[in-house]
Amino acid sequence: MDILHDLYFGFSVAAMPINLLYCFIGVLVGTLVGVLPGVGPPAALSLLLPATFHVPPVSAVILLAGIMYGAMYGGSTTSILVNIPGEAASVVTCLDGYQMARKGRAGPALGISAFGSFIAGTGSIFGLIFLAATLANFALRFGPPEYFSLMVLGLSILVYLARGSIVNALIMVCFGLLLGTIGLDQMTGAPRFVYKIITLMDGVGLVQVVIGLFGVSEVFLNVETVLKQEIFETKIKGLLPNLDDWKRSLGPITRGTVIGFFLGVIPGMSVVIPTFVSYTLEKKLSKTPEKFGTGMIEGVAGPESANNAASCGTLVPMLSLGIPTGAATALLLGALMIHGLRPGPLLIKESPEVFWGVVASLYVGNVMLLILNLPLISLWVKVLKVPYYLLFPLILLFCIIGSYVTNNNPYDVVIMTIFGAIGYAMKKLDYEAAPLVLALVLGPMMENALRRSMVLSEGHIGIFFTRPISAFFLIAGLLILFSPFFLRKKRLRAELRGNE
Amino acid sequence: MKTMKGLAMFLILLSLVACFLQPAPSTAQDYPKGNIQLVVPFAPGGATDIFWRTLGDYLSKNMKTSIAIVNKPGGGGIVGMSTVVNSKPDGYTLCAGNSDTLNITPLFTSDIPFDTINDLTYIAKLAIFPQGMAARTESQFKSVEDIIAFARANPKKLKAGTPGVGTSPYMAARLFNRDARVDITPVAFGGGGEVVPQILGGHVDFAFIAMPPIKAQYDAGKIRCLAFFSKQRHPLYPNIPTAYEKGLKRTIIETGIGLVGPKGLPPAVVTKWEEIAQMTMKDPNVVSAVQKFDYVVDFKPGEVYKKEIAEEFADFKELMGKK
Repeated sequence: MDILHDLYFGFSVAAMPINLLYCFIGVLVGTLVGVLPGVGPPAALSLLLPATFHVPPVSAVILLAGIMYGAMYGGSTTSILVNIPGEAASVVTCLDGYQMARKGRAGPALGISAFGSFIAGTGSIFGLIFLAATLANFALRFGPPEYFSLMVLGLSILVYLARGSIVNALIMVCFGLLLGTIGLDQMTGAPRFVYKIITLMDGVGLVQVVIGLFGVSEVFLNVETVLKQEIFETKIKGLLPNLDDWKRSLGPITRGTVIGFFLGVIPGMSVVIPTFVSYTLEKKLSKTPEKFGTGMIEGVAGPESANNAASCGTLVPMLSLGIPTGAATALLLGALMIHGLRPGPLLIKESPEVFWGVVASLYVGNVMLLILNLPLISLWVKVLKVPYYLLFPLILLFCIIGSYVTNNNPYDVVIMTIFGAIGYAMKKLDYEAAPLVLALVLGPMMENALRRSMVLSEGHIGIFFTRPISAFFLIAGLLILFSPFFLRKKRLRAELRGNE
Repeated sequence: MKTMKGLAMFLILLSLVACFLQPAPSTAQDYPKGNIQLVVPFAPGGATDIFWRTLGDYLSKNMKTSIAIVNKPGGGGIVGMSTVVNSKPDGYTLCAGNSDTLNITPLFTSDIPFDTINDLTYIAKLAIFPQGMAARTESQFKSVEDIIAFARANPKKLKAGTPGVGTSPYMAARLFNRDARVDITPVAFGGGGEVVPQILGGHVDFAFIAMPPIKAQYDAGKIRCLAFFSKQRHPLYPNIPTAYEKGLKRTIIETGIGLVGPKGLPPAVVTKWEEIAQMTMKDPNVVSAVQKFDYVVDFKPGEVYKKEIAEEFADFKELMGKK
């Protein structure tokens, strides 16, 4: 089979000692940088991009791919250990991962995260190899109406995301949508809610908001209580996931991989969205949905797999069509161009060693990350034993570094602090941050998609229903949104029957 | 004990004083004396960023000092540029951007806290980035004439994708509309990368866009470039016509890539940069390196650059005022 032959060729390129070295360096550096709060693949790639200039092309790509993956792995570490998302896509991991850490189960959380990511990565790479061309062409059928309907579907799943009061969650959604409007309007260039503050011209900044809402606020909260009690259970219950953990996680991992990969293929889809979808799906499928948010391993396994699969999915349009699908792939594309490589339909034909070398090294990188991360788990877990009064200044320091480093803009740190205060208030008043983050990501995308669709259709709203893919997503979204009404009747009837 | 305390106080005082010491202002004759920081007001990996990073090594060698490229994205270039505007005019902090921020963004974004023409010292223009129009190969539009004919027969029916509003391709769309006397609706997306799938998927009829985002598809024969908006044909694509030669004499738009600095830069600094930039852009290695990204080398000294930008700005203001 031709593909197997190409794969073998790719592995022979990836397995060259010099390339293995580059892969290792990339993975290692990526992980270390990715552990910094808020520094995910895009930031890690932009920081380390200059270092790749004087390296031969294929090796440079392998190095960069390693950095991208490493940054993703590193991101989940801080989410689990200290409730600070290492990157926007790790927000969901904080919800249950941190709770597991507080119960002394940081090891299994980190472990299942590593394994889940590995399995998802392997699965997606196969998807990449066999489905790349088909998927890329399917992704082209997504015009503005399809994006809008997909976003409606995305927002509607918020109904299930809320842990506590749904009204509070909806208030957070509205707040998130409002925050999303801050900045220069993409369609007219007009400044909205900018108030002459230049930093706000590009919006509040997802990374800064996330670090503030989750990380900084958590530090504020803990500083209040730490003088009286321990934050973490000092007895660490095991370093690796046990059999029960594995049994519960296999389903989420598989579902997460599929969701992440297929959603990631859509150009412009943020990696954040598949993680939310996976979390909500697992919560819906679980027999004990109310326990989500207290340390359910499904809530870590699913989203982490989705995260990794989605990142791999974003490579599909980039490698097969030459289209950047997000910040990380745009950087990869730029780096490839500097080396004279131009991904696209011709890449496979003209430079097969690049394409297959990259694919093979993705796999090698995955393996390396697993081997690298597992022993590190015991090291990370020891971090939790550091007394909190020493730990929290360091955490704050890393938060500040993480917020600053994305744009080299000191005002981003101010934004992070403000949201730290807001997050503190929110936690005290029992408002959840996760719906806010989802709305902040989805809102701008949805608004722009809606407006572009209206321009394209010259004002006719039917465009959302006359196009099949769009109609499908829209109807699915509306059904999910209104399903509680139907289910309530069923539940009431069941209750009544039960009382008889 | 008292002497220890006294000594400690003295040391603290000394270190406080040291914080406020500044190196003696270097005379422009010995410029550059240290690391120069080039602020690129766009995200890494983008077209402008790639240009400056490629050039960075050569400039550093010729300037005989280290050059650090720092990305400060945001606001279509305004965020990064404003930090340069507010920095000391000693020549060690310069803005390595493109002309969109200088004469297009101010048309759309009010409240910019500085005047892009008068609050900056224009140092040099290095290259141009030709803009063009492109359509799917399967589309019915095979040439500029096709588009104009269809547009004149069906006003407001054609939708053209553009990478954002405060950008050259968007202005190209407006200029085209004015010159060809047609009414094509521009649809703004979030960047060149977002426009390409829209072209391929047929969601927009065609697009105003530069070559690099579509290059991969162009080489594969999936996207056709209908024209460039320059006076002369692009040296790398001699078979693609220009709108100018088709009779659209005022549809010329070329994003300039140039260096600017804060107001009040010593003239010796500007002269030094002009000299080095001119020399660098003549180097055949540099020319071939930037041509890989479809830039066309075009050196212009600071004053000429400023005049070009100001004239274009006046034309754009008139264009926007009409619509």
